[in-house]
Amino acid sequence: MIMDLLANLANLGHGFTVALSWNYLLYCLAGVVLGTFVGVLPGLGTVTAISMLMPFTFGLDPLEALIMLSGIFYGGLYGGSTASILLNLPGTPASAVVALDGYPMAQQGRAGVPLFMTAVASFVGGCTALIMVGLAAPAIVQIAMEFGAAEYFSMMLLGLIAAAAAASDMPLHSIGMVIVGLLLGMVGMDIVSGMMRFTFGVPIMAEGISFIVVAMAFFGLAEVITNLEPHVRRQVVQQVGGWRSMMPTRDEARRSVGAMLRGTPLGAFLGALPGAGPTIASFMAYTVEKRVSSHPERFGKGAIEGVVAPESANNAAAQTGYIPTLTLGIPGDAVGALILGTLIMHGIAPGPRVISSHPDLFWGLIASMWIGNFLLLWVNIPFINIWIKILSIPYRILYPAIMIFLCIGVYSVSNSAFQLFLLAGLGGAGYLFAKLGCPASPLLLGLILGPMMEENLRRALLIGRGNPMVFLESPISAGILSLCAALLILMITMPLVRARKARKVPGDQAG
Amino acid sequence: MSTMLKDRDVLTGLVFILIGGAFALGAADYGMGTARRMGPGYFPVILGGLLVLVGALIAAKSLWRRRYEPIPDLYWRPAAALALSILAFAVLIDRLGLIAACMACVLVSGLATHETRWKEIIFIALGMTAFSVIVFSLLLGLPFRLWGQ
Repeated sequence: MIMDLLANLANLGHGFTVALSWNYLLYCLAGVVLGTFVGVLPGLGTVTAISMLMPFTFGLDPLEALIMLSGIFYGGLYGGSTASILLNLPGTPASAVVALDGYPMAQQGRAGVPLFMTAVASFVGGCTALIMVGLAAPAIVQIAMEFGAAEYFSMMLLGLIAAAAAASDMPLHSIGMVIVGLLLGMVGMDIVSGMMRFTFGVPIMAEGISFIVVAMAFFGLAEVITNLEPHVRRQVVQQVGGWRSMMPTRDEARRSVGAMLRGTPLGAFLGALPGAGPTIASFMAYTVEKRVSSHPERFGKGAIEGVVAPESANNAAAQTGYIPTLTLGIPGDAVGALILGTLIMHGIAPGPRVISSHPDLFWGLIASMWIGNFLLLWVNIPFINIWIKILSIPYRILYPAIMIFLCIGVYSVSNSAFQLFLLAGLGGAGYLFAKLGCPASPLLLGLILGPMMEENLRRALLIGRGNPMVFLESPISAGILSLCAALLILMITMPLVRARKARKVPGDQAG
Repeated sequence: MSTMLKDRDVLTGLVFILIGGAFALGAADYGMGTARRMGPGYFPVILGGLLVLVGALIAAKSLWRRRYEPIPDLYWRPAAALALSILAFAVLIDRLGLIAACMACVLVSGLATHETRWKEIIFIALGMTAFSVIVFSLLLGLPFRLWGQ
């Protein structure tokens, strides 16, 4: 046990020597600056940003690409809270909760305090969680090494169901979107028989529908269309004074410490579960904080705990979210799916062997995220007024630029105009699905996991001679499947229970 | 009848049934095989069938409750304008090169909202074209022809 710990520490040290070389530092800095930039801009989410910039990382080495894309992700979470606090307009869903107490503070003319404290809380949450990733990941890998096809299939099923559960409060809609994603993943050449499926004779479709095109269509194009609806309005923002105006009062600082100590482990735990990402972690942390507070009435009016706890939780969750992606090859949310897609694009087979066969990649990434969290403090706090200026760029200037990025990015996927037609079509579909209340991230997850799921299903049933009992004979697989069943039952019954409660006690606000 | 068809969940159900049905029917031709030796049609048929089932459940639930909630308004102007701007890029990139494609893409995208100021959008188009040429073509070395076939 202690030996393992020491070995991991040595590995982490090695990771730092990798991550501190100048090219990785440069991509790390580029990532966090770009991430903060897109996080600050309302109406441009981190998933959008990662998918938009992904094609331009093909030429990099895999670690450079991962470092930069990850930087965009957690940098986006930092930037997202800036927009939340100043505009009451969350830049990313994960920072929506921060607006509840951050925006009232900004209205009181104290915007500097929550802005400063979110940076600190993010740093604490992110760095603490990274240590947990370094410790937990190798242990999980040891278990995952025993996994066969049946276990993998069950695990992927759990990941998809959990993602569906997390994505929306309408379980059937999310499950439907998972299946649509899985079906889109079937497009292309069948690896076993070599048969072309759903390609309509288009040669380029043999490679399947690229997840980049789908991500850009659903998170890029569809988002832009929604943002251009005539009723969407944006407001003007105030500037923030110097260092002095950012300092919390002594009482606030004291209360923040407790909030960080609760928010970080909660977020780290939730982030590691498949399906529960930063967004859920931040909402949960807020709820917990309100419960344990001796003055719950202060929440919603500018309580610093309501800013600090969710912020440390969502950054912790963002980091531990890498655990399932990197150890099992099963992403927990849309960002994980994109990271996994990047690995595959660079020819790295996802799964438990990633850490042992690419130690530089894994430990270098962890170390770089540490460095990135540190860089973010210096990117954010001293330059806060620049970020606020960026926040007030009108959308009518921004969206044509986004369109160029989308077009060039999608075209570069295979240097073919066909992908652009696909983008336009899928973007329209994404807009329609958004109107129907169907969430996009389960679809993306399904798309990436689809081919792997089919492969493992085939292999498991081949081993089990066509008998589906093979999934229940292995205790691990049986355990995971019973979790799936429990989760499904919970998903279906929860809305019913809630509806009944609401009907029984009209006007009750205790919940 | 018309409120029923405009209902969000009924529409969602129909969309899922259509997609699932199309995939399942298409996949049925690919050869099912057996559970032990699955053909290329096996998994898609199962998935398509499941999607039809999910769609039917969503629609049925809504029809059963008879509490219809209309789908939010779809705005055709931004959707059509942005699709058009992508198509413009797609058509021009292989024929006239990156510069023409970028200019057209930005200018057409200006149709998406009435907030557009046309003088401004010309500057954005010039700026983004210059940016794309410098960053994507020169710095990142993506294989674009700048001008001409």
